[in-house]
Amino acid sequence: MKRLFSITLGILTAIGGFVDIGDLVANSETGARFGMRLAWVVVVGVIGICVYAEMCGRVAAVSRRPVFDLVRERLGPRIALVNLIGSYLVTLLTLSAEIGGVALAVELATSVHYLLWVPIAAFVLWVVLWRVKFEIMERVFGLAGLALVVFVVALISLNPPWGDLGRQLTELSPPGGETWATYGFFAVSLFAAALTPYEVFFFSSGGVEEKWTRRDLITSRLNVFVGFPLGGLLSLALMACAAVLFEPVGIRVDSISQTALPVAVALGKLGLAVVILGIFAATFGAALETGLSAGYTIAQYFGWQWGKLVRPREAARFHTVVLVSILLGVAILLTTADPVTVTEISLVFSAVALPLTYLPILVVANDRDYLGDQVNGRVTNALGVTYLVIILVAAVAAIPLMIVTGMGG
Amino acid sequence: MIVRGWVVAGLVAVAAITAVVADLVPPTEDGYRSTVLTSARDARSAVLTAAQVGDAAQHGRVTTLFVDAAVEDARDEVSTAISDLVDADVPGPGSQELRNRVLPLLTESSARIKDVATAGDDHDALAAATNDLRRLADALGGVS
Amino acid sequence: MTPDPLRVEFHLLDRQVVDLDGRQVGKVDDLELAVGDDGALRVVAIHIGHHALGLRIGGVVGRTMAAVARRLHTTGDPQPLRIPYEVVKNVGSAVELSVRHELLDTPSLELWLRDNVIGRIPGANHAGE
Repeated sequence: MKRLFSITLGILTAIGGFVDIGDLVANSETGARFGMRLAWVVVVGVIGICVYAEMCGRVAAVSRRPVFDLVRERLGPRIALVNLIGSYLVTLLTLSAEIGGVALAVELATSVHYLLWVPIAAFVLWVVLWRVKFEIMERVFGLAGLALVVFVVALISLNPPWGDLGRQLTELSPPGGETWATYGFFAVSLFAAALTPYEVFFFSSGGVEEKWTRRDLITSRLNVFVGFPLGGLLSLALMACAAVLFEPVGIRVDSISQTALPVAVALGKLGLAVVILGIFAATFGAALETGLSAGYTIAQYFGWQWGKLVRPREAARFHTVVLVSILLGVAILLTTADPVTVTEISLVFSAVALPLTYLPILVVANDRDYLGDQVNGRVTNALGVTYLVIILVAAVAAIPLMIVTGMGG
Repeated sequence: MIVRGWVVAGLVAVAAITAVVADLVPPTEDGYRSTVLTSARDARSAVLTAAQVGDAAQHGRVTTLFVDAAVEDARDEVSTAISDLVDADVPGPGSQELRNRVLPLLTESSARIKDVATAGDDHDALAAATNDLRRLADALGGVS
Repeated sequence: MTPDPLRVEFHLLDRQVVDLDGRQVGKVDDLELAVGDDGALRVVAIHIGHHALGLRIGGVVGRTMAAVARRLHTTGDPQPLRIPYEVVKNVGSAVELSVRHELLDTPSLELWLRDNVIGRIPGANHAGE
């Protein structure tokens, strides 16, 4: 009974923790411009993150080591260093975007300009990372993130033309007014939003922080195969809400207030309160995860003591990296760069960095030295390799598409 | 290793020169037109969003604090559209005419969007503001 | 448990080193080898330190890393943490030692940050569990 409870809790946390600022921005922007014509990318992306997160969970549970701890010994210190620099910079940019998202959520509730909230949000973020136990932190923000289910409720009560939305799902081409280049650009952004690199760093390191063993393989798999697809459903609901309210009149989404608006229109003030809470929890939870991930990547390359299981003074280098990363994230925002733009840029560079993150996972998950009988099966490898090809295509296309379309135009 | 360093330095130099040259090339009528159309399109998005917020406010579906935040976002968008337009060099008389047509619409957009926030709970004021905004959106949509 | 034959570059180099309690000590950044009486090479000690790693990597990247490590080192003379191979208990997905990390020297960067930054923040002794 207790186990069932903890598994359910884990799945709920995975659902609520799935959406972050990248999904909030990319899905509502895409919904407003393309209707549901790019929804298939979300599905493809969710399957991809499931395939690779399962590998990470398995590596963590069997070898008791997070995947990126193993990258250096398999790829060598040189390549792993390139990998580290790329992954760290992207994670830092994502962290900055998430902090911006937290500040924007608070602005929606208070109407006080987000820049005033940025330092406060960052400070609270750091205090939580410093003091709160790992599991409590994960659970609280994951469960609060479930508030985003309000997008599903809002979609239903908007009573959308389901037939039209359904038709758009199968239309695999850009609508009038959009080009194949913008279609491609948003496809890459959506894909990167679903597969953001920090998610796998965090998932594998989190498994070690929660002391997973072989017994927890089932928990890990249920989190991934049930939690993530349901989280992906929230992303699709977000997209559909924008598709219903904005696409027909040709409104483009470029702010978080627009992301929240469909819920208010459908459900009123109570819905609005819930969606603001959901956006806050989703971005704050993701800020915690990216902040830790920034520390994980560097500490795991050099072999430093990392994580929240030991007293901070015994992982001084790790905590210093986390602290400095948060400060750098704040610095990016204090240049008055629009957090939504920071998010869009972070998605493009996430796409570029995806191969750095995902290739090593596939390599390690096939290593009998670490995994023994739990190495990838044929199906997993077939899927893994297929996704690696897709990831490479997205990575190569990301920058050219960004330049050609001028960040989507 | 040294060769690679020079290649990288060369690429950076080329990128920097391209960026500088792109800035110095005199603007064309077509380039200017596309700047104007982009500004008009973005302003129309903001205006229509403000109208939707106004509608929601009339039905008591949003808090005043949210209205303030959303109006602020919409006005930011219009401000960006205005400064993009003002900063671009006008290449010729045709462009000047286009600019004179669009710029007043943009400045009016900013003012009318603000009306949604100042209307508060006043039902009639909100209705008037959203009507104005929809009319403006039509005008912005008609720019070509 | 230790793999036989032990391949230095495959089983040892760059692998995580943990102490008796599973605390992370560092990575195997370099190795000290010696020729035994029978003429075969054997591992004498594990070296841990960013400076040692930088020297092993070599090239621009490695030299930069070594230079940064020297900069960050409090005394300016970075000696690697040397762990005699006798205290290696097991080589698995990590290199496990048969001693506690308290018995080993703490890297100077860690020590400096502990004393001057992290240790000064309230709650630094609070375990996260």
